[in-house]
Amino acid sequence: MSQLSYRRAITQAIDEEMARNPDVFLIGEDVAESGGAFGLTRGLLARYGDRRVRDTPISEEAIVGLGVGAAALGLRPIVEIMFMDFMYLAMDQIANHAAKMRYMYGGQVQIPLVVRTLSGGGFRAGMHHSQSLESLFGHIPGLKVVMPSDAYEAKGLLKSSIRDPNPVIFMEQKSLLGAKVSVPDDEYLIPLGLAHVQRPGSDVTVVAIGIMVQHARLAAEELFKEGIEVEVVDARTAMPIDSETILASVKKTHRLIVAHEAPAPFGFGAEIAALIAEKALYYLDAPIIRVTSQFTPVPVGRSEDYILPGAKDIVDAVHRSLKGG
Amino acid sequence: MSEIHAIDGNTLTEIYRNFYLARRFEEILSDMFRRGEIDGWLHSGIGQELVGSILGVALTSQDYIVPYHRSKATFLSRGVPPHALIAEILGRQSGLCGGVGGEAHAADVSRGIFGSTGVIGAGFPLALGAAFKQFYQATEGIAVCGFGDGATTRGSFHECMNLAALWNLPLVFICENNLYSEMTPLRKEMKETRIAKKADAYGMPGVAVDGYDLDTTYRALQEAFVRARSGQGPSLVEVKTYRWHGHYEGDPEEYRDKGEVDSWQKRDPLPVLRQRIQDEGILDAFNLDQSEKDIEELLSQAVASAKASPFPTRENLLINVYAQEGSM
Repeated sequence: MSQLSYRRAITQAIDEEMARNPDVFLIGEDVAESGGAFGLTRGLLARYGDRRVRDTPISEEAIVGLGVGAAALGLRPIVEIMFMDFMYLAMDQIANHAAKMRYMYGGQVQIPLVVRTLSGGGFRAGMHHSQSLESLFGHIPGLKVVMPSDAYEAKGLLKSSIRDPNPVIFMEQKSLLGAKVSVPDDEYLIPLGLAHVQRPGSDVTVVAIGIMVQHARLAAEELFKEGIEVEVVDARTAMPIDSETILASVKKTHRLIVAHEAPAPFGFGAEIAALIAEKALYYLDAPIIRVTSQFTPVPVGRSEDYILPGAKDIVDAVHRSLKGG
Repeated sequence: MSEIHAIDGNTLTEIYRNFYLARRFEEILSDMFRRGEIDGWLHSGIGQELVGSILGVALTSQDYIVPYHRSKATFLSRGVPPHALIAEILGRQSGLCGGVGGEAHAADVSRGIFGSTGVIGAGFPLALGAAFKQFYQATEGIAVCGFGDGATTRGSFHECMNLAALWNLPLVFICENNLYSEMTPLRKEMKETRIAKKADAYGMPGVAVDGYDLDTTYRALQEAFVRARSGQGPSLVEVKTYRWHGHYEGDPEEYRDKGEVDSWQKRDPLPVLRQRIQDEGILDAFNLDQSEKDIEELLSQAVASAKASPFPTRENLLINVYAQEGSM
């Protein structure tokens, strides 16, 4: 085992997959010569050359679409969109083409494309550099949406995403880039669509995704001091949803909090709440509570802290849940 | 650059067959639409068959084509069986895409035709991906992107022209300029209506040709293909052409004069080519008649076969959303 940062976990995953498969290539703004705006792709140009690691102009629609076309014809593109907020610029290629092409061509193609992008708050950079848009993409048939919660998860999930035959939106949590955890030295993969019981507990289930898994862990440690045992489920992927693991946990604890950084309406939490309402309503001893950001754009600077959810919000929600909502 | 030779007799005959097949295909489909035999809509490419008819003879099996959205000729000249294209347009199971894609989304990846889309301008990035694949694998192949004049006002056109030139990709942009973006004339869509000229801005050659003149069109396309194939990068060919029917079948066409339509129809390159094949002694009238009869037979069988094919089952409609591991 070695201590590895989230940032280097991503670099290693790309590096290992590029070494393994000559069809894997990486394109994006500033990914090659500068090693990425945040150093995520450092060293890859030197290792693989400018055929496989390429800087692109600021042309999000063109570069994602290039990835879709190349993937349809058998390559395995990794396209970096610097910030998730810029995914809107490539939305037609992602939603209408990457997602639908296999279906509309009657199964003639598959689209093994990974679009990597930094998501969420943490840089205090405001509404155009801080969004978490997982529910937009999870809503579109044909896409998978991955939100790794630490370096171990990032490496294993990214390697699986690159090998997946479907288009994957890979949301790198920008506030975790420097965070280190122990990661095996040997190769490992984490399958897409399998949630992970990050911390077992019997009193309340907290289903969290992305950065919120870290907040949920802190909240669980805090609550443990009060004698409350929280089960933290890392959803890992917003699509597909691992209903089985989530249902099993709720049937055990009878209480559910869902935590994500995006706003509540039409979000991941709404989807999980619907799942429980449909499949496990009578197991609940208290109403489901969602811990999310406010329904506003993300403001710039420290105001971000008032809008985005944190560990304290989860602690409060657990208390409310135990009081019956 | 290698010499582009005059078109030989076999090639002329092949282009004629492709053209005649595409023309009759369009006419038959148009009649079927009028009789209510086609769900949804139909966008006729009648009057614009020449470019597609050339693509089938001027490209190799390694090349990829993102087809111009009206161009049934591109599919047919590339060897797509007419019954499979008709069945797709009719939404039947034996169609190219199992009847799920329909007219706008038909593709035949085994014949290098992909990237068809219901979104005008979305084909540019996909074609860029196809050209990138050729570059990445250092193949002999190129990619061709067909589109109309209306697509050139999309941002994707400019992003992709820039990137294709910057990376020197083997990509040929073919604009079938039929003077109308749906129902709106070109001059109301753009200040600079000389589309070929836009290539200058991206550092690639751009040429405009009369799309009703076979020799000029063929030569311009071949020059662009040779250029792309020999590593000299992308180019833009603007083919000035005309669609005889409306934007969609049933379009009342209040936006243009009947006289304008007539003037183009009078220049129809199809009979001109037929006459030329006779005059040059390549085929006589008897052989041409026979060849046309064969095509009529092929098409009538194709229509019958397509109509006999069932619609997709509910089960068919629920697959292919995701690929399974190792499914291809």
